[in-house]
Order: sequence, then structure tokens, then C-alpha cells
Amino acid sequence: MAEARDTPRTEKMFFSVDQITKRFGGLVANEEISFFIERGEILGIIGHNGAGKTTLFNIITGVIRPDSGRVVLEGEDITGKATAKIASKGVVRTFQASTLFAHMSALDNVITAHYLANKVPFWKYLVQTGKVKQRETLIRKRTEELLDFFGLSAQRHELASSLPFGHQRALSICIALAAEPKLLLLDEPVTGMNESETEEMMAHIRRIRDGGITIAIIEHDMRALMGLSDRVVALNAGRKIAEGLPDEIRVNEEVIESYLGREEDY
Amino acid sequence: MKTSWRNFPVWILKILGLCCLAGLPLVIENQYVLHVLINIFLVTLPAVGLRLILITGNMSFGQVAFVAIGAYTSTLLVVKLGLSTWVALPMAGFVSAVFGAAIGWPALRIRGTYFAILTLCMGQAVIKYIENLPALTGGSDGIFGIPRPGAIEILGHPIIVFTSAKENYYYLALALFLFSMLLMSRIERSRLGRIFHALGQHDSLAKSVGIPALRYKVLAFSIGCFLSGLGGAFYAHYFRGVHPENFTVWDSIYYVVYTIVGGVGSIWGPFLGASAMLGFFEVSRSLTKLQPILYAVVFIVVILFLPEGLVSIKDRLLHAAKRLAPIGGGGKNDNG
Amino acid sequence: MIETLAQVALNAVVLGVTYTLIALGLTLIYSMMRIINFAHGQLFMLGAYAFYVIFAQIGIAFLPALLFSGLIVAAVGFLLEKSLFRRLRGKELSSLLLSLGIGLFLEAGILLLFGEKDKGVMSPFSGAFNVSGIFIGKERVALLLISLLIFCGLFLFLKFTRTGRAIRAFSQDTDAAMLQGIDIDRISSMGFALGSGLAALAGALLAPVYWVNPFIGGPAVVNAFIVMVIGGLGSIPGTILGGLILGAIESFGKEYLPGSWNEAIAYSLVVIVLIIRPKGLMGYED
Repeated sequence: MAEARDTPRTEKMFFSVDQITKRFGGLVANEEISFFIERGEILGIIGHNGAGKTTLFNIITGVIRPDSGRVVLEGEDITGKATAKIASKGVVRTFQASTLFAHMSALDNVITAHYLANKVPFWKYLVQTGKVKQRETLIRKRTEELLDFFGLSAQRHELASSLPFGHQRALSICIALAAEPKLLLLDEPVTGMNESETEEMMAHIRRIRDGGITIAIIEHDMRALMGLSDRVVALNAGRKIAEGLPDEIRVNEEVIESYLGREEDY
Repeated sequence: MKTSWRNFPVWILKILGLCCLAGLPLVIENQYVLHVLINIFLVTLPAVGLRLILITGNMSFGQVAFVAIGAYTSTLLVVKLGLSTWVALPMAGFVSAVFGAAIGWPALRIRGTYFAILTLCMGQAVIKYIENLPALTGGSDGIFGIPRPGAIEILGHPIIVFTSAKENYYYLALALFLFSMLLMSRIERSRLGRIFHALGQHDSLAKSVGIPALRYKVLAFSIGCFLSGLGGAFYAHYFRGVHPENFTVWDSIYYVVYTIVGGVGSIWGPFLGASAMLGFFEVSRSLTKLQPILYAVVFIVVILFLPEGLVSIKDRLLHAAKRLAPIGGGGKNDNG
Repeated sequence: MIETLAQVALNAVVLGVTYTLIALGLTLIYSMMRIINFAHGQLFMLGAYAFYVIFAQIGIAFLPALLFSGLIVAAVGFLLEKSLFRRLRGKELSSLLLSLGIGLFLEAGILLLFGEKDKGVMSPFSGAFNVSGIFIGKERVALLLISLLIFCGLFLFLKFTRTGRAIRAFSQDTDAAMLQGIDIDRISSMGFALGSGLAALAGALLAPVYWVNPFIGGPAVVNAFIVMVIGGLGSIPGTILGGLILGAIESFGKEYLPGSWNEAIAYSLVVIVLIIRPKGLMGYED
């Protein structure tokens, strides 16, 4: 079964990275990384700090250009395109730190993030026409639904920077969801959370997938990642060292050596 | 927008303030005082433009360039092409905006500090070009004797006539200022305003949700240059002459000073900053010798201790008051 | 014709060295703390005034007067960093504005103390050398020689002294430097002092040659920016190259182009360089 999963399928793939390589000076951040993501699945990406995970996300979302390799979404080559363009194609990410519009309320954060859903020529904004107002109302409704989904309704007028950590993480996912992604890249969504917060977030992530969004997660929390992922890709020192079902990865020698540690925590 | 009872007094104050501003010339006959007020409005326009640029996360030390472009454009349109002042004014604004977009498109890709230096040198470059293209701009001789704006008529009867009396110029300056405030107010409340603020607070995040950052930064920059150009055009018609030496890097720096001292957090910040500092200058004329150093001290104090400017004083006082009187408050741990 | 060309070229070198001297301190501070010090020009101006007081008014000998001028302003820089800039460490825009405010303050202060008129400082060197039709004033020769001494001194200091190496380490990689146990606070102050001292040395050295008035800071810092951008932010060899380029533009521009075209070109060049290659000719990746 593992072998079948490793070879690319012949029909049109939802998403794939193909031989992605990136060097920074002498340091190899990513080396010939290839894998695919099926529509509707949750893919987990594991690896040490410095294994190249966030660099990979940066390359996928166009923040940096790879030295070689391709990123393909639904048959379209999106390698090296502008981040905003890639977002409009449907690939949206969250960031490691709590990346928010710090001086806006939670509500305004998510309303602003609805940019793609709300495209009206700019000059129409200075004159509040009926259509503009209609859209704004719709966006506001969607925003409140999103915030509600994550249990942030009570905090919606709070300044984003004054929210507690867990809520900030939830808000950053709301922001990403507002852009209506097809593929959502979550960068360490539960890092720093306690048990109950993690369980809650995991439930949210499952519901997001159930809503039809494909997800790729970078995470250090093994239990969370293994618990959520349909498949896992393991990176080490910039290379992909394994790919397969969580159970397969758990017992993979190389992965255990480099990352999981002989006994402990998963 | 939240409209609690707390916002009401401010709202009323603003209306009152506007009425006062409009009624001032009826009360003040001193031409010099009117001149000072006109000056305040004159420098506020580019400062308001600068504020918008600052909100999207960019600092410009070269806005005087666009003031100059506006001044010269308006002058040339009236003097060389014989257009009416009323046509030339907005056109000058648009020409400045176009220049702004042309420079902004490549330049706004550049990171913060470098962009600041770029604008500084760009500002100087524009002035030098003006100085060294005498066929177009009159070079170091300047252009003088610009005709006064034509009278504003209703059904053939002149209502507002421009003479050497300052009153009507005051109303024109006030009108331009109010226009800029209206524009800013509309922008702040709109999606555009949210986008601008988002770019200034976290432009990578904005890009990650699909906002084309460069496009909007250029837009903000152009609007800012439009206002600078408008201010410059008014300058040309008020002083009835333009000369390269009227536009210096110090002007650019003062726009920054007024905006920062007033505070970027409110659309009224630049006006507040300009009024405070220029007003202070006038009031302390007896302290003329100390004026430059007092300016510097005020600026430094604001940066160190009041970084959000004068407009933040109200919030700071409220905050301090809340701390001292916890009745009805009870601290902020409601998020538990 | 050849003589004119040679004379213009010589002037270019003299100007170039001058601009390099002014820009060195700015580059140093930028490479260390990523702060664009807008007050740099006024520190330059302060150096000129210090020299005026020490050399022209008190009457101390030329070289010691230079040294003292540099040290006094270095001390001023040290205090500025310690008491003011440190509060805003990490806040790029605020530091920039603070440096602007300090520059305004220093200019206003000197204006108040000394008035706006130029102060005359007589150079101890008079006369000129004549090398087959090309003139170079003796004071300018002294300027060149002492500048070269300063460049070498700076190079040796940065390469061989502990403080100098710490400064270099700090410029290249702040985190690594911290791990090596370098005291950030002390190094920041020392670096700022060094940068200020260099600015002051430039001002003092140029006092007999150019003007001494409260307003010379503005043009000086703008020229320093031009040099820094063209030559490369954070690079000392780049600064020298940038200085020479600016000197060439000014010298050749004034000779062969009308009006103030040389300035228009210099400013435009900065804009173009920043757009096309922000790190300049020899600067570091940021």
C-alpha cells in the first residue's frame, strides 16, 4: 500500500510539489522535495527545527522562490508567483507566531481578510452604492459565522493584540479561512497550547476539512499531528525521508532515528 | 462604528469646531492672523497626504517634491496655457498623483528605511530638475505675477472675488482642507481604509489573504501626492509666484514633524500637529530665538513619551482615569 | 585641456575622500544597529565647532585639536545612545525620527550658542603645490593624508582590537555576537561613539577648508546618504568607492555641465540604485 501511495497518480492531481530545492548560501533548506496532496485530505509534515518545513511553506506560497522545482495546483504551475496571486488561486497559510493585524478588532481582522470575496472596483468605495453595501453586509455575516465557529464571538470587538494566545491562534485561522482557500497550510496550529485547547483546535481542523478544504499541517505535537493526518510526510535536514500513513511513519526507522526519538512521546 | 454616548460629545465638538473655523474671518480682521491660519491649512494638506502614506507602512521624506510639482503645474497651466485657476487646481493635484504613481510603482517595493532615503533623495532630485530646466519652469528665476483666481459667480454676479484681502483665500484654504478631511474620512470608513491599515500593520499577512500590497500602497501614495499637489497649487496662487528655493527638504521634514506630533491615529492628527506647532511658533514670537530649539525639544518629547502623538492624549487621559477609578471597571480579565 | 581634466580629476579625488570621511561614521552605525542616524550631519557640524573652539579660540595645536574634537563628540554620541536611542532599540521608524529630532536639536542649540554667521578657521597650512600646472592646496594635501591615516586607523582598529572585532561581529550577526558573550549595551554605545567621533573628525578636518556654521549638517548628511547608498550600505570599502563616485560626479559635473545638474544626477543616481540594487555596489544582503 505504501508504494502505491508514493508514486504519483495518473489522473489530475489536486496539489503537488515536485523536486523543490532551495539553498541559502551554504545551507540546504530544501533538497529535491516531492510529494502530492489529495483533495480533501489532511497531510501532516513533520521534521526537526531547521528541517525545512517553514521554508517549504514559504516556497509554496510564493514568499521565496525555489532554486529549482515546481509547485502545481490543480494542474496549474504556481511556482514563484506572487503571494497574493497564489492566495487568489486558493492556497492560504497561517504563520508560526501570532500573525494578526494587531491594532484592529478581531472582527475587523476577519472582515479585512475577506478581500478576495469582496472585489469591487476601488472607486466604488468612495461612493457607497447599494451593491457595495450588500456585499459588506454579506461579508460581515460570514465573518460573524467564522468567529462563532471558533468561539470568538464574545471577543469580536477586542483588539487582536490583547486576545489571549489560544484565541489569537484561532483568529489567525479565521483570517486564513476568510480568503476561502482550497488548500490551507497550517504552520504549527497547536504549538504552545494545553491539552484541552489542543483538543478543541483539532476538532476545528477536522470540521474545516469536512467543509471541503484540503489541509497541510506542520506540527511538533506528535499526538495532534498523527491524530489528525490522513498521511504524513517526514523531512530531515531538507530532504524527504518518508511518506505514508501515520502508522507507517511511526515505525519508520529513519524517522525514529532523526526525529521521534526511540521511546517517548507519541 | 460604535456609537455610544461617549462618542457624542466629540461629534458635537467637531461640528462646533467647524463652525468656528468657518466663522473666523468674520471675527478676525487682522490680515496677519488670517495669513497664519492660511499657512496652517497650507501645510496640513501635504501632512494629511503623508499620514495616509504612513498608514500603509511607508515614510516619505520627499513630499515637498509633489507640492512643488503641483505648484509649478498649476502655475504653468494658468500662465502658459491661460486656463482658469479653478481648472488648474484640481489638474495640478492629478498631475502630482500621476507622478506619485510613476515613482511609487517601482519605489514602493523597497523596504521601509531604504524607501525613506529614496524619498529624501527623490525630493531633492525633483527640486534640482525644476531648477535646471529653465525653459519649462523658469529655472532659478522662478515664475511670478500669477494672476489671481477668477471670481466665483452665480448667474453672472460675482459672489467671491479675490483681491489682496485674505478673507477669500482663507475660505479657499479652508475648503481645500475640509475636502481633504472628507476624503480621509470616507477612506477610513471604507474597505479601502481597512486595506490600507492592514498593509501598514502586517503586509505579509495581507498578501497571504490575497491583497495585492503594491497596488494599494501605490494608490495610497498617489492620493497622498494628490493632496500635496493640491496644497502646492494653492500655494502658487496664494503667493502668486513660484521659485525653486521655496521648496526645500525642510518642508518635507516639517510635514513629518507635524504628522508625528499630531498623531497618525486620527485623520485630524496632521491638522492638530500643524496648528499646535505653527500656533506655538506664533504665540512665542517673543521667544523667536528659542523657537528652533523648542520645536526640536517638543518633537523629541513626543517621540519618546507620546509616540502616538497629540491625538492620543484623550485616550491616555481616559485610560489613566479608568485606572484611578475602578468603579464600574474591575480590571480586564473578562476573557478568562 | 589635459591640465583641466587632470585638475578636475584631482578635485574629484579630494572631494571623494572628503565625502568618504563624512560617510564612514554613518555607515558604521548603520551596519551595527540598522539605524539611519539623521543626526549624523549635526555631529559632523559639532565636530567643526569643537575644532573651532579648541583650535581657533583656545589655541591648541592642530593635531591634538582634531583629536579632542573627535573625542568630545564621541562622548556626546556615547551619551546619546545610552540615554535616548537605547529606549527605542528595535523600533526602526521611531529611532529614525528620534535621530531627526536630535539633529534638529543640535542645530538649534549651536545656532543659539554661536549665532548663524560663519566662523572662520584658518588652516595651519598655506600655499599650494604646483605639479606641472596642476594646483593642489597644501591644506588639501594635509586633508588627504590625515584622511588616509584615519581610514587606516579605522581598519586596524576594527581588525585587531577587541572592541573593534566585537563591533564587526555585532554588525554581521547580532545573535551570534550575543552568544559569544558580547555585551550589547556596551558595544552599542561604543559603536555609536565611534561613528559620532568619525563624523566629528570629518567636521574638524574640513573646518579650515569649508564653512563652519550651524547649517552645514543637513547637506553633509544628505551627501553621506548618497555615498552610503551608492557604495553599499554597511560596507567600508564600499563607502570609499561611493565617496569617490560622488566626488567624481560633483567635480566633473560642475566643470562640464551647466547649473546644478551635478546635484540632480547624484540624487537621481541614489533613487535608481535603491530601486535596482538596494544593497549598492558592495553592500551586504539584508
